[in-house]
This record gives sequence, structure tokens and C-alpha cells, in this order.
Amino acid sequence: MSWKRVISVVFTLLVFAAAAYIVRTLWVHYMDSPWTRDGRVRADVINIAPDVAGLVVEVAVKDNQPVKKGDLLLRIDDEHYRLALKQAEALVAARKAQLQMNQENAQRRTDLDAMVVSRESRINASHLASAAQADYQEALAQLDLARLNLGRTEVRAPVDGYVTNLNVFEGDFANRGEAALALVDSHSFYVYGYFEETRLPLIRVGDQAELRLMSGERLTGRVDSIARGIYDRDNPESRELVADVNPTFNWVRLARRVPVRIQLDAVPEGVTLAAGLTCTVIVIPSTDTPRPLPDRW
Amino acid sequence: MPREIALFGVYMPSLTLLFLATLAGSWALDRLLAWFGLYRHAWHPTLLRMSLFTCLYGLIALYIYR
Amino acid sequence: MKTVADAPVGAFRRALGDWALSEGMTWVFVFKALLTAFVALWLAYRLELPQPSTVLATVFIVMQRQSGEVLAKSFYRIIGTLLGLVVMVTLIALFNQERVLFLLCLAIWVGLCTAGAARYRDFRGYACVLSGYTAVMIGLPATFNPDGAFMQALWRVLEISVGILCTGLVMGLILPQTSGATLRATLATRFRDFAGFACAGLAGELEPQRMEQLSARFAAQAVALENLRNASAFEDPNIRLRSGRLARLNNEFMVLSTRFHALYQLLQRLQGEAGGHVLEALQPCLAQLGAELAPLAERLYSEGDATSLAQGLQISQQALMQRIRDGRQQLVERQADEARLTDFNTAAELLFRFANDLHGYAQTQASLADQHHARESWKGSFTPRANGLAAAVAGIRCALLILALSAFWLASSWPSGSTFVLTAGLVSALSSTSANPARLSRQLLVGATGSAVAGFVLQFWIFPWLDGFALLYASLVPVIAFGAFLLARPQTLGYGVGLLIWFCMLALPANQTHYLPYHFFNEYLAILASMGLVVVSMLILPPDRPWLWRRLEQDLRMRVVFAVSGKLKGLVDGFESGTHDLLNQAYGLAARRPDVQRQLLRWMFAVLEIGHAVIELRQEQAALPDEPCYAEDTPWQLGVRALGRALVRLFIQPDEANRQRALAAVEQAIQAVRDTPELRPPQFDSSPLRRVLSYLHFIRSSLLDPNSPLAEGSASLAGRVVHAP
Repeated sequence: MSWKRVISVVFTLLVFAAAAYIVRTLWVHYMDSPWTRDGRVRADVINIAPDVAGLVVEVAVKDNQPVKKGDLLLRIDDEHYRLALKQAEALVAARKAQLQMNQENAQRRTDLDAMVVSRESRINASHLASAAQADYQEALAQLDLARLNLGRTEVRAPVDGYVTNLNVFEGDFANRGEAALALVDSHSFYVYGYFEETRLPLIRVGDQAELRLMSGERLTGRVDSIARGIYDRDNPESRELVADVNPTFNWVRLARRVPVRIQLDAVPEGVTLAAGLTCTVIVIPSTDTPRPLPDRW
Repeated sequence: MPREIALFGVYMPSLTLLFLATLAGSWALDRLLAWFGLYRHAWHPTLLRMSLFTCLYGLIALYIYR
Repeated sequence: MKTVADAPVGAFRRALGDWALSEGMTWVFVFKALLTAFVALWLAYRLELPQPSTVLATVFIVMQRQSGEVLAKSFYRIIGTLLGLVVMVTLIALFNQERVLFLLCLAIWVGLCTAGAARYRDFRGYACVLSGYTAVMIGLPATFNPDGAFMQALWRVLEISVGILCTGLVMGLILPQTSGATLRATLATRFRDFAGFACAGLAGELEPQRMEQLSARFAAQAVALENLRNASAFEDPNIRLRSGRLARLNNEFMVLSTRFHALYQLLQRLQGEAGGHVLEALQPCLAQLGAELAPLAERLYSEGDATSLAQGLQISQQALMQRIRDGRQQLVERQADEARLTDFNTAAELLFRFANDLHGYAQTQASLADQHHARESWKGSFTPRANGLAAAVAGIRCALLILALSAFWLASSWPSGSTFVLTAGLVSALSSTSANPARLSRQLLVGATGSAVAGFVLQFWIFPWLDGFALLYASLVPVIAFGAFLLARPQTLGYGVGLLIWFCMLALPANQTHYLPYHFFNEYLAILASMGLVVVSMLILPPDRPWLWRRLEQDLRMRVVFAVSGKLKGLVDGFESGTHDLLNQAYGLAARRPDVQRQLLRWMFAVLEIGHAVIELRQEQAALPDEPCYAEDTPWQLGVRALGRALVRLFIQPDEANRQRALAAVEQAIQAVRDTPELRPPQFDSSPLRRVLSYLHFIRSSLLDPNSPLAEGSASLAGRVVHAP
């Protein structure tokens, strides 16, 4: 074998070794580093429903409008509730009169001689006065309720946020408890990164995370927590409280994905976040504690 | 370079596009090397060509992921 | 020093070497097939592809013994797949509500693809097969849920790509069996055979029968080499740099063998008549050329041989010319008549041109040693010719079959109806590129039956006991190994393809296995019934009926018309390659009729001889100097044109009257040429008229040849053809 041949073999093998090394490095980076393409921006979404039923007379916000806590969102027709208030006030007056009468009656009987008024009559009068007192209290409560209802005809924002999916218009009849619009809490944005289970050992609560939105913007965050349960797809339903286990199993096992919650740091000026956006999550393990992957092979 | 590129509304890993680019690039390199007759001295030309392509592609991919 | 004890060791090593070259190759192929299947299946599972079966089926469709062919096939397969994908997505978008219209369009498209595959028969044909195949693979399942059709189509493309990638890598990297090496070996063997047979021919010892056999083989090899060259260019950059020269070499070889055949025929005719003197005078020239070729007939040439042959021929050309002149002098001294002298001149000219062609061939062969060479820039090309009608029949049969099966599917709403239709499309597509489609589809049927048995046993008795990929693969090994073993031999290829592809498509479990016996039986019933129907349709509308090879024979004769009227640029290579390709097809179709094969071969010789002479005549005419005796309206020019017309008529309708007319025309032309006064010395190299005369004489002698199919006037085949249309 000539030198030329030896050199050519060695050269070819060298290039091959270089290729193998690069592929290995790439593999480690791609497969064994804590990052995922499968991330979602999420936020607390509050379903706003009126507390009282009635015609909507005013929608004070536009769709997608930012609102502050306490801002008026909707106004329900308060005519009914004003009348109800008057009714309640009237009732209070009536009951008050009744109460006075009963109390005075009872007082009078108490003051009269036992020979004049029977003991029975005296006790009855006293009880009637107590019942009238209770009726009066009830009427007062109804008055408060009517006031409350009247107040609740104005629907106000519970948090700072953005009106979303505004689906109620002037003249609609709003039912009690039926959501009319959604309010996205502007302070509650966070990211769920779905990490393969093989990468979980690389992630610790408190690690820095880099987030790249599909539009190219970058955010930073911190690992807030790791979900402690996902649904078992191989054991879909338990009937009669016993497990329904699939009789066949995958030939090649595939890693499941576990959600990791990332708390966002300050969102840079000009970045529009919306719940449901796609993003890539790259967790940067803190350098002081090197975390080798457990040997899986 | 971003890890993902949105192309005509399709969101795909940059590696896919780079694969095509590298394919074109290494084809040109391949023709060039062949033209100068370098493969005649190679021991296993297919292995060498494959390794060269892998090196090229791997380096580009590492540049993105590092 | 060798001792006695070494002898057995040496014998053993030799035997081992022989085994490695023959059986060993098969086992290496089986090993590579197993490795490819392992990698591809694992990747398919790991990447969560929805149909691992498509990946593995692709692997076995693309798999070839030679890595270059794998790469070429893969390349065209990707193109075909993308084409089929585009067409299917369009069709689904147009007709997703109308299943009948959709199936109609699908049948038309698959029919077109099949026709295209039958028309081209090289790698372009393969792209056609694949676009039809992809169309049915994507289109039929999509009729159930058009919403998911696009995603499904993309998954299929991804699966096919994974299969192709695995096959290409394993076949190319591990113990590769390169197409380039095969190409070199084929070229060397072919030239060795040719040298041997030329030596025998020059010495007058060649049997006409052997001549025919070898010529048929050369025609087949010319077509095969062209495909091999295309494939090797994909794999080997060195071959790609030499691609032009290799194409040229192939063409020069065809010209060379045609020329040699003409010379041989002429010598035969001289032997028959009172041409003894002529032969005698020619003998020294023949012997000289024979001596040059003799050493090459013994062994495969090496790199240096071609160079030395080229140099030797270069030097001996002068000597050859001198010998020819001596011979003519000798004849003149013996007072031979004009006819004898013309015979001699024609033979001598042919011989000289043969030597010239041989020199050109040797130069091209020698130039292959260099990386770059001036001979690379060659403008000619291999032009395959196929009969459009044969291709159309294949296409129509396939389309009708798909329509019929679709109608059955729609009428019966059989759940496996789509598999039923799909298999028909697949088998038609796969068999359309083959030389003998009926045999291939029968083999596929048998193979698929085997796969049904294997699949049944594995699915219901073996797989339930297994857990994990390693065990699964171990249980697949026997089937794959056996299939690959069948695949490795050309004569059992069809069984292997049938076994492996349908095993992978129907019996291969997905990553999460679902045991559905009803489904399994339905699917296998569908494919077997469908394949059976394809075989039956081949019997009803068989591809090798007499009318078909009669059509091909007619096409062969029409090549003379092409030689007379075609554009002169690139005419030689177009004529040679097209004629050889036609013969190769017709020869394959008539495989069961040796008599027909012989007849076809004789037609090819007649066509090649006369066509070649006509082309050279036309080239001569085109290069005439501007002198009055060569003007357009001289009597000899008119005579040659009349001859062209007579030849066209003769080859369109070969009967005795037309032959007599052609003979009269050629004699008149000869007379006209003789009567034309020329100012130049009457030698080949200086006198164009002298050369024209020898071409005309050659045409005349081949028209008179008693062995030619023309001479019989109403030859059995030709007679029927004339009346058929």
C-alpha cells in the first residue's frame, strides 16, 4: 500500500470524523438542551357577566379597549331597579308604621293594669311587635338589596386589562351570570413551554428563560413552576373505577411533553402580547450548578 | 439568525430552508472539487462527499443553535 | 517462492474471491437491505410519521443493487412524487364533492403516467411511474376526508423522503457497488467481444448466426449503457466529467458495429459471387486490421491498451492506404472489369472507414483516462425511440382498469375499495416500465400472495408476543431478507418486489399496533383480487401481440425515411440510437418468438446499412466543393434524389415492384455518376464522386442481397403489415 493511498484513506477518515463530531455536537444541542418550539403565551381571562338581568342601555367600551380597574363597562337599564328601590322604600315605610303601631300597642298593654288587659292579650301584643320588628328588618334588607341591584346595573372592570371578544350591544337583553365579554388581565401574562420529559432534568425552578415569539420579538422570563401531572393517554378512562389499560404498546417509545410555566420579566415597550401566541422557549440553566443529563442509554 | 422562519405564512425551522441552501452550495462545491480532480485521490468518494456535506450543514446548524 | 502447502490456501483464497464476486454480492445486498429497513423503520417510528409502511415500501421500491441507480431513481422519484402531489391537491380541490368526477380524472392521470412510463422507459419513465403512484397513494385515501388531504399529502412526501434518504445513504456508503465500476466493466467486455468477432469476421470465419446474436446483444447493451451512464453520473463525479465522452463512445460503438456489419455483408456477398479476385486483392488489408485487433480479443483492455491501439491505428493508416492502392493495382493488372473494380473500391472504402471509426473509438476510449479532454464537447445525444401506440395501449388499459375498479368500489361501497383501486394503479405503473409487463405482474401477484401469508402469520401469531423495537425487527428479518434475496436476482425481481412492498404496506404495524383482523383480511383480499384483475387484463389486452411488434417493425423501417429526410445535424447519432432502441424493444416484446426476433434483426441490418449509406451520401452532398460538375441540377444529383424517393417508397411498402424500382433508380444514379466528368484525381480522399459512387454501389449491393428481408419481397411479416392498416 503506497503512501498516497494511506494519505487518502486518512484524509477521508478525518473528514468523516469531523462530520461525525459535528453531528454529535448538533445532536446534543438539539436533543439534550432544554428548549422547545412548543410554547404558548397565556394569560388570565376574566369572563365578565352582569350580576343583574335587564336590557343593556349602554356599552361603555369598544372591543379590544384597554381599561383600568373600576372603569365602567356596561350599563343595564336601571328603571326596574329604581322602581324596585322605591317599592322597597315604601315597604320600609309601611313596615315602620306597622312596627310603631304594634310597639305602641304593646307598650300600652304593658302599662295597663293586669286587671284590665288579659295576660294573653299583653303577650300577643308584645309578640306582634317583635314580628313587626322582623318585618321591618326584612324590608330594610330588601331596600339594601334593591340599592345593591341598582348599583350593579353598572358593570365595572374588576382588574386592569383588555376587553376581548365584546359580544354585547345596546338593546341586548343581558341575563344574569351569562358572560357578555372577556377581559384579559394585563398583569397576568405568562408562558407555558411544553418540554419533552427527557429534558425535564435540565430545568430548575428559577432558571432564566429566553422566549422568542413567532414574529421575532424576544422576551425574557424565569421558570416559575413545573406541572406535576399530565393526562395518561394509554389509560384513557377508568370505568367502574378500574383502569382501562391498552393491551398494545408503542414499538418505539416517544417522550411525552410536560408544561413548564415561565413567569415573564418586564415586557419591552412595543411588544404586543396576546394569550395563545406561539413561542419558542429556551431555558438557560444557571451556570453555577452544572446539570449533566442522567445516562439514558 | 432565528431558529424558525415564517415563509408564506408557514412557520418552519430555519434548518429546513438551510438544508436546501446547503444542498445547492455543496453541489457547487462538489462540482468544483470534481473539476479539479480531487476525488480521484479520495479513498471512498461517496463517504467523503457525504462527510463534506454533513460538515457544512452541521456547522451552519450549530451556528444557529449556539 | 511457492511451496506445495501454499497451493490449497491459494485455491481457497481464489474460491473465496470468486464467491465474493458472485454470491457474496447477493449477500452484501441482503445485508444492506436489512440495514436500510432497520434505520428507516426506526426513524419512521421515532419521528412519529403516521404511516411507517410508506417509508419502508419506498425503501424497497428505490432499492437497487447499484448505488448510482439508487440515487438516480431517488432523484426522479422525488420529482415524480412532487408532481403527483401537485396534481392530486389540485384535483382534490376541484372535485372534493364529486367522487365520480374525481375518480375519472384520477384514472386519466394515472393512465397518462403509465403511458409516459411505457414511452420513455428510462429514468424519466420512472418519474412518470412515481407521479402516478403518488397520485393514487394520496388521492384515494383523501376521497374520504378531503379536509385532511393537504396535510396527508405532506406527510406522504415526508415519508417518501425519509425512505429515499435512508436507502441512498446505506447503499452509497456501506460496501457500495458502484454503477461506475459496472459501466467500465461493461464497456471493456463489450469491446473485447467486438474485437474477437471483428477479427473472426475479417478473417472470414464468422458465422452469420453468431453475428446476429452478438448484434442483438450489442443493441441491448447500447440501451442499457445509456441508462447506466445516466445513473453513474449521479453517483460519481468522475463519471460526470466524462459523461459526454461516454455517450460519444456508445454512439461511436454503434456506428462501428454498423460499419463492421456492412463490411461483413459485403465480404459475404463477394464470397458468394465470382468475387474471388477482389477478396484476394483485399486480403492484405483485412489481415493488417485483423492483426491490430487480435491482441484485444484475448483480454479486457487496460487503460494503456486504448492509447496504444489509437497510436497503432494512426500509424498504420498510411500503410493501409498503400495496401489498398496495391490491391487495386493488382486488380487492374489482372484486367478485372468495371464491376469488380467498383466492388473492390466499395469494400476498400468501407474497410478504410471502419479503420477510421475504430481509430476514433480508440481515441475516445483513451481520452477517458484524462479528467478533461477536448472530446468531451460532443453535441450528439442518445435519442430513444418508442412506439407511441404501444405506450397509448398501456395507458388506456391502466385507465380503463382503474375506472372499472372504481365503479365497482362506488357500487359496492366496499371499505377496502380504495386499496383495491390503489393496487391496480400501482401494479400497472410498476409493470409498465418493464420489458415484459405480463410476466412482471404475474410475479408481483405471486409475491403479494406470499406477503399475505407472511403478514398473517406475523400479525396474529408473532407480533402479539413481542415487545419493543428490537424484537419486532428480529421478527421482520426473515421476510425482509428473503425478499431482498429475491430482489437481488433479475429473474426473481418481481417476486421480491411483490413480497416486500405489499408486506410493508399492509402487514407492517404502526408504532401503536391495532389488531384489526377484518381490516387485514379485507385489505389483502382487495390487493390480491386487484392484482389478479391486472393479470387478467394483461391477458385480454396483452402487450406482446403480433400487431404490436409489427408496428415496431414498421417503425424500424421508417427509420430509413428518417435517414433520407431528417435534418442532417445530429442525424447519425439520432439514427443509430433510435434504431437500436427500437430493435431492443421489439426484441423484448417478441421474446417468445425466435423467428420473429430473427426477422426483426434482419430488418434492423437492412435499415442500418441502407440508412447509413444514405446519411453518408447526404453528408457528402452537403460538403461538395463549389464546382460545376457538383451543381444541384447535374444528372447525378437528380439521380440521387430519385433514389431517395424510391428508397422511401420501398421501405414504406416493401414489395418486389418497389425493390425493382429502387434498383433501377440506384443503377441510373450510378450510371449518371460514372458519366459525370470530374477534374480531380479518382481517389477516395480527393474525389467526392468516387465516394458517392461507392455509397451508391453499396446500396445497390444490399438491395440485391439475397439474405435481406427486402429480397423476399413479400416476407411473411412484411406482407401482413402492408395490408393491415
